[in-house]
Amino acid sequence: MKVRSQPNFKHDRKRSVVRVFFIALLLIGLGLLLPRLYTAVGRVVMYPIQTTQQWFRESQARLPMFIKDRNVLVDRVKDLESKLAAAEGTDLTQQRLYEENLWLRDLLTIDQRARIGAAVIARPNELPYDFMQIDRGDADGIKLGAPVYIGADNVIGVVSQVATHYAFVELFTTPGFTTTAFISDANVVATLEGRGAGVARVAVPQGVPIKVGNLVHVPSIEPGVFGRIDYIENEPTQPEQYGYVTLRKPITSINYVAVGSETLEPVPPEMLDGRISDIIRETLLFDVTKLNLASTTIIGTSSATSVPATTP
Amino acid sequence: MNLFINIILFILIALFVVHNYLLFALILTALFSYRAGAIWLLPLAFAIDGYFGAFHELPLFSMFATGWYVLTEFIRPQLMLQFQSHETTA
Repeated sequence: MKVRSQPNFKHDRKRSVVRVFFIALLLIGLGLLLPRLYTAVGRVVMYPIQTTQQWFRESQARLPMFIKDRNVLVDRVKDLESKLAAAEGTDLTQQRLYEENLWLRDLLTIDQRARIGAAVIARPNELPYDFMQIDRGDADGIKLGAPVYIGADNVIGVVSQVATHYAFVELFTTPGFTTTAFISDANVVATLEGRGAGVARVAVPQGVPIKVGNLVHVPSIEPGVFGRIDYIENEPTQPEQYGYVTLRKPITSINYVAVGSETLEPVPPEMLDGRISDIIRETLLFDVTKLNLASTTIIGTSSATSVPATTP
Repeated sequence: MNLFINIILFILIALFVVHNYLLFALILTALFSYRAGAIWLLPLAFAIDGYFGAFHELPLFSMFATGWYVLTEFIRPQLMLQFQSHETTA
């Protein structure tokens, strides 16, 4: 019986490793010389693996779906995490801007006007829609035309009628109510028109880039944000497009409001028209006797010249 | 049983490489090399390189497998001896 000694065994092993190494190098070299042959052989050999891979990618079976769903969910979690981080950053920015705004307002003493808190004692359906009754009146300092808020700067309407111990609030969404509004982002002034049922609309010419989410300010009230544009009605054949605005809070959910202590002092249209007519009249009328004019009138063949007498 | 496990490992290595899960493939390669020897990985590496058309440029898997084979053939006996000595002392 032939017994191999340990050194010989190690030597043989090294030799076989070196042999395999050189054969592998030879095969790699051959592959570089005949790449197409290797590709063809590789495709044949790897066919079952390729089929399995395809099954994993396209099959609706439980295992591939589990793996695919998991990957999709992992991607979704990553996406949401990045969005959350971005939102937190935005939130911080908003907080900083809000605090800075408050500080500047305090500096300029803008918000020194007091507000009167009032509870809503009647609302639709007890009252016609877009009207509210509040439990404060003339005796509490409520004035006709005072703005009514449901937040720090969210104005919803004005006081339309005041009694001693109660008052009525007319919302901007009341049919026929019109006021000038400013649409942010689009930077355009438009007329806000109440449409009833908690809806108001702003009408702007075609081409003005209004978008859903644009803030609608009431510039005559400071601070006065009415809401955001929720829906845009735009028919290209029409000269105007409409942005519809609804109340941020449902009217039935409004329990308390804050009434501004200062009235808006609205100017009636008749007074405005009268003032405009006066201005036009003043512009067109002038005293002819004060002018140094020479007028010539030709009647038939005779001519007459009149020179105003100059008074010394 | 060992043969069956080795075949499963071999197929899993191929699948992971094709699916580009290279870290898992590397872990399984190390395990397979310890159990069955790295020489069986050489034909797999050649087949994968051929499948991906890597012989038109640089057959990285084949080169890595060749290097890996040489490395493991020198390391493996020493590892085996280490484990044997631990077993005898225990």
